[in-house]
Amino acid sequence: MILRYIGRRLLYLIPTFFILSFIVFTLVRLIPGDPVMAIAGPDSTPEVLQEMREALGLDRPVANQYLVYLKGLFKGDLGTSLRTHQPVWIEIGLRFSSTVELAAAGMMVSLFVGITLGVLAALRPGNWLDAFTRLISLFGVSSPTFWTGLLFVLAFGYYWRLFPIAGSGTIWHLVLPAATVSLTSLAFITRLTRASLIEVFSQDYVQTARAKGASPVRVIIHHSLQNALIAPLTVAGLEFGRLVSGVIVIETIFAWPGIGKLLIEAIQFRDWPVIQGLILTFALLFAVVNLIVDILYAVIDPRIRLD
Amino acid sequence: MPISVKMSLVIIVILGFLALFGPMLHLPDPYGQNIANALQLPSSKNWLGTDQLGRDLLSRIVAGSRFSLLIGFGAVSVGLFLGVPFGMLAGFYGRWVDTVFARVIDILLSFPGIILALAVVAVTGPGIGNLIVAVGLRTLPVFARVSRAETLSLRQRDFVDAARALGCRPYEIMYWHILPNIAGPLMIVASLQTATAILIGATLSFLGVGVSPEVPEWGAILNAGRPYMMGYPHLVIVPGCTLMIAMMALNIVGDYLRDRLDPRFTMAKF
Repeated sequence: MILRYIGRRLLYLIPTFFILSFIVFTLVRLIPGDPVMAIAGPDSTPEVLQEMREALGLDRPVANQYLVYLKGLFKGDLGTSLRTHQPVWIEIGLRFSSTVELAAAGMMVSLFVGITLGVLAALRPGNWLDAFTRLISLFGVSSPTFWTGLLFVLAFGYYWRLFPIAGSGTIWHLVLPAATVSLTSLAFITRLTRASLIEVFSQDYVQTARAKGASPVRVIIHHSLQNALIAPLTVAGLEFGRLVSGVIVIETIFAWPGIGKLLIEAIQFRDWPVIQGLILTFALLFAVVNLIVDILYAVIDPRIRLD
Repeated sequence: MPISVKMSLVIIVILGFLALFGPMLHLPDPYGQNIANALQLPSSKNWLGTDQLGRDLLSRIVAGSRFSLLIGFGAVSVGLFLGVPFGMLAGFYGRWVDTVFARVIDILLSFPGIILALAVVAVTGPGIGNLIVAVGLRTLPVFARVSRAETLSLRQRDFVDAARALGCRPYEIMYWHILPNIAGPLMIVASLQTATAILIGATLSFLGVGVSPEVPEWGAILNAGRPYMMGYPHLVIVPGCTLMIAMMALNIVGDYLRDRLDPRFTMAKF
């Protein structure tokens, strides 16, 4: 049953992929100015420009160009970067794992810390711990990601010099970027865990478990948390979009060699083959993560109908 | 009304006042460079200090309120004017129109976070007008989805049938009978989206792909101060805190409006 559900959801990815590739293709064709002129430079003769246009296939009808582009996509050919003259998939591939590392670290921190803080806040609503998590949440929701990142750099990089503030490589390099990227999602997950746990605590079956003499820890972990976690997990999936936007900004601040920083550089250099490849990558990444979250959701809660 | 909402309203009124009447305050010229007076710490002459080109930081923050609010309201207007007719048509006609439109909305929403705005800016290049359109397209699917859902629940109602029986054309029904009824929820969404729009605009400017660097938009001021923040932290702390306080105020008021005016949304607030 679950396997059929996963299979069907994987099939849904195919039309999504085609429509996304079409949008990205059209978007890039709207860029004003002649891309050939940009590659060859303004001093080129009309003959050189024409030759280049033919070599790139830009003289053919647009529908034809789209088919060629699609054919390239299936072969893993995303074109060549105008800036480095490397194939785009190599440019993206070299940096992809760094971004996944940062996003995964951020997601893990926000889930782990968020759920822990949420549980602590739900135990005694209204006490100082609850007030403290409320304060963290308000800061997390309201502070723009780039501002949080700069604050961390100022505080932990310059003032106390605890962690490196640029580059990657060691686990210490990951601390500040991951903390920054997780903060907004952490705030949401904390509030959500708190709210749904408080609701679950008032349910009859939790009272029953308590009356039967189950230890408080067992009541929280075994009886309550499993039900209370559905909402935070769903949000975690939605939060991934926010996290990815955060990653783009944070990679730029911390000089983290990922695809977010690559995208900003590509936009500044108007390197359209790279822009095109990256937007497609981000959108597909988002689609796949949503799929994973939906599957997890179905695994955790058997009441969800798989249709 | 809780004290936090009152304080937020005061902050929003002050920001609105600065955006409208800032130029009348006789502050130093926000664009006036004076290298001899560069990188000054806050003093009685320059209350918040000066930046690397000797421009008064307070004037730039005040001038920035105008740009930030312009981006926020401009983008939300773009989203409203394009998204609402889109969503209403889908909800009103149903069937294949709805299927096609709902699919397009889903796909627009499938671009995570600022990626769609970045993609549009990549195509159009920097500049405040382009930025407003880019951020507006980001808010468009949100408005389309809300107006579609609201229209869908209204079109079966008796007053719509009555209007049709009286011979109203479809666009008359939508404009005169449905639109006033969905205006409330749309305003709530708009107030929350304004904060998001200002934030996305500031983020793009901070990344150097939003407004041009000399424009005193808050995100751009923060970006310009970044290279000097080690020795002169006020260059990032002032615009950063301004942005954070503005976000906080707009979010608190938006949440309050949602809870008060539309109880259905209360659950979504977690």
